[in-house]
Amino acid sequence: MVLALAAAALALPIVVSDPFALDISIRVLLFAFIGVAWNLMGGYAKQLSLGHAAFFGLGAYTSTILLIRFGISPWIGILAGGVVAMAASLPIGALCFRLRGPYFAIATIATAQVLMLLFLKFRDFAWGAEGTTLPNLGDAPLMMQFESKAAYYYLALALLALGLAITYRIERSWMGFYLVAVGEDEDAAEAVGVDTTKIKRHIYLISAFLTALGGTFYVEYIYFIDPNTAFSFNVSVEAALVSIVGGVGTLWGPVVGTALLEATSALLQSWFGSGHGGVQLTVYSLILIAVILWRPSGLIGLFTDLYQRFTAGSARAKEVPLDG
Amino acid sequence: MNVALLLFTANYRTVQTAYSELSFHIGPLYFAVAKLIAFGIAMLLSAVLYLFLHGTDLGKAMRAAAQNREVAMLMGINPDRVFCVAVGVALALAGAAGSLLMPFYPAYPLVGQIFVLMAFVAVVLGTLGNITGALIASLMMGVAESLGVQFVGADSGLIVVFVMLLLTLALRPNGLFGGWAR
Repeated sequence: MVLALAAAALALPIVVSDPFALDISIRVLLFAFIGVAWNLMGGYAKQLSLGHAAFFGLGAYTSTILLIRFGISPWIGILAGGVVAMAASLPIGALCFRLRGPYFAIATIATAQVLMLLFLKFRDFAWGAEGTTLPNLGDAPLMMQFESKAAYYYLALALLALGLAITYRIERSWMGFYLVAVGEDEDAAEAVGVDTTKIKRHIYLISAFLTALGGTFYVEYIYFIDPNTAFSFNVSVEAALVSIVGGVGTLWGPVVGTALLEATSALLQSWFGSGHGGVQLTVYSLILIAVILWRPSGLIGLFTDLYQRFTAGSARAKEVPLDG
Repeated sequence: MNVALLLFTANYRTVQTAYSELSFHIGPLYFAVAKLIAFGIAMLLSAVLYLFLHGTDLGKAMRAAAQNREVAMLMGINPDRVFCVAVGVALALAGAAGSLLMPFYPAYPLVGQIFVLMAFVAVVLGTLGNITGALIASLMMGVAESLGVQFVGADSGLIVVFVMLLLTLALRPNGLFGGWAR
């Protein structure tokens, strides 16, 4: 099934050439990727971070500054951004990991806000509030700039595949079990010998690195950066929301959640966008509330339930002749 | 919020009251009447809320249900009912705060977003579930923001507030009134 999905994802830009549809697909892939990065931290270890915009913005700004000030290709910048985000996650983690629940959430929001306000202040160095546009070099694959949207699509797809592969590996390693233990009950995990601070630090490093990759990709895609988009609170919320709607602590949860949310919002926008402002947002919120009330553990539960019913049904079918 | 966007459009609106422009001086200090009224009523409402939470059976049930849901149920409290009342009281107070702001603050559908974050910061800084703490924390935040604007730069007020929050949480993980860090 995964193979069929991957084949469909690979074939999509060949079949679909409408730029609007491709743009939506790219956004879906990007936010699914950021959701996957958030899910490592917020889903498996249940550390409700609402400050992942900090890493998104750091990744975006690092690669942009390297590109414009030093002429370094974003291919290097994307990794540099990831490393900067990892470095930033250490002090943020040291500060926040002792906090629980809402205290942790608000501390992560505060760090992202402080970073945004600092970048608003850095006028000479990082263009302050007005932001900057990235130089358009035309078709320059070495500078991560492409003529066709399909190239961006495949790049976003590659990022998502990377995120899913890392999650898959972690989910099945000792680290995944440690993370779930921390998520279930931190004190109990500590009592049976899990170094909770260390495991949270490690997963925060990975999560920050991946989120920063998403940030670099985003500015390279939209050709513009300013503190309010790079460190937008909406990025943090979106990352958490798609995972929560799709199902936290599951491999495919964020992907399912993003596909649903982004597709609905884009479709609603094209249906209602020309009428009264706000209609599409109202309908979107109603759908969101309905999903959360109907499936508090996320939509992914729907799929696994069906799958289990299906396999349980066939298993019973096999058992019957044995009994008889 | 988005329904408000639909109904009232995204325009800014203000209310002019008889006292919107009034102000008076005491020595070198300057007071705007509208803000003073808002401050007075807000303090009064906080005091009433404090009395409600600590003096009435319903208020005590609310705090008990928040502390430990299961034990509260054993004591014959219906947590769902109590939480419904709590949400109602909270929304009513937030509505009151909104109307108190109207004489000197423009209203538009997305106005709440600024206050949501600041309210969350104040409550966490002053320890969740502690009214006195939230009051003291909000005063500290207001003073910190003004000092930041005065001494660090006009755009740095919020940096000072957030840094203050982070430093406080570093020393006291449960807010100002949640006991020292171990």
